Amino acid sequence: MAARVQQLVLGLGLGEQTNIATASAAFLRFKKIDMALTTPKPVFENDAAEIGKGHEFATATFPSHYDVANRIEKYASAEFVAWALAFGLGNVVQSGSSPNYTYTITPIDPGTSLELPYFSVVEQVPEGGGAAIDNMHIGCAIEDFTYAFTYGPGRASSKLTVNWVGSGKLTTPSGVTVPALTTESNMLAASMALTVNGIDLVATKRILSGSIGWKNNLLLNAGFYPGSGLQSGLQLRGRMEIGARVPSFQFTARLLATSTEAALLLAQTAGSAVLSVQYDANHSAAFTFPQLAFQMVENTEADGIVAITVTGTPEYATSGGVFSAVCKCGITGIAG
Amino acid sequence: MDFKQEVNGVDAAKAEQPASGSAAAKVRLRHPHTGDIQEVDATPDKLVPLMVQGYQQIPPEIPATKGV
Repeated sequence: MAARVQQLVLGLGLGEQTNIATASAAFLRFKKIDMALTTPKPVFENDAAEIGKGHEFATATFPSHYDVANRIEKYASAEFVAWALAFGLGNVVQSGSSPNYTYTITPIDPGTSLELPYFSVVEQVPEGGGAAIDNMHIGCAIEDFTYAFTYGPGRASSKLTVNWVGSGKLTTPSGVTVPALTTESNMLAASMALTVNGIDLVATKRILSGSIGWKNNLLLNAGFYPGSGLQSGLQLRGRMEIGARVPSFQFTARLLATSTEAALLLAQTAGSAVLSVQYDANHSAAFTFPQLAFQMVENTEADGIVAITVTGTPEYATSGGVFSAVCKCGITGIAG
Repeated sequence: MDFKQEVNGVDAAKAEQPASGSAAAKVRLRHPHTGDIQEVDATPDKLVPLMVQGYQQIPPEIPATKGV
């Protein structure tokens, strides 16, 4: 027997773990596009570089630490976008009621905490009546997420990719019964509204593609502090703190004689950028950069049509911060 | 589900939306260091300015006592 990767059961923690070492109490099951399976990778070092042995070869190996990380690439459903942004940014306020819970999400304030909400990841692959893989990675945090949109039909027009990192703490077998697949409401790019720096890029039918990104630059080595803990003799991370976070926004739009992006670049005029997509009124996401200047405007082409690619510089605004999101979906308790 | 069914589903969901302009629910936020508590409308324009200062949602089970 063997197992096909399509059999993967992926469970992501619903609520925030009470601490980095305590597993999520409930899970959401999602499909994903990429085929990447998570490896609970134990890292060993050796003494090859040490002198005094009479040669340059290793004579012994030593347990070092666990290194766990993976990515989740998905079509951008309202449910997954809400989950990813809640855990990726960290400060979450839930309001509303079924069927549209509303999540207002901002990056955590570093004056309050440096740690994002932690979640657990369960991966199970049944095989031959047993399980080829049945792991629960406890104490995971989101390193970065990227929402990407493009012209063209179907769900591929709107995708979200998440990279996450684990503390290394592992439970095998997981002992988790992952629930049924989450019913997802895919938000196609055709539903988009986008206004950047006073320019309505949808009404003018100019927008072609783009991406919104957030990178936490987690301080991974600092997670291995004295006393951070061991598992099978290998060090575990006892914390994962945010580093210098980087928001990003880039878009490509058709270039018209009336286009003003180049002028806005030269003048360094900053304005808000708001991108929203939806499945319906109960399932949506809106991303807001309160103050965005243009860093670069490059001429390009798409399908032979002259266009420009604009790279933005998200600036911190006193009242609105650097970035926020409002996500609506029918799931309650995300990162709560 | 074919495309027509999906479109019909979207239209039905849109038709079920409450009328706009209804009063926004209130949400309680607390600053973890100062203990200050604010109760504001659950709208982004009210929430975000507090959230970027570090205010966090008070779970419903916690009493709204300043300095909890």
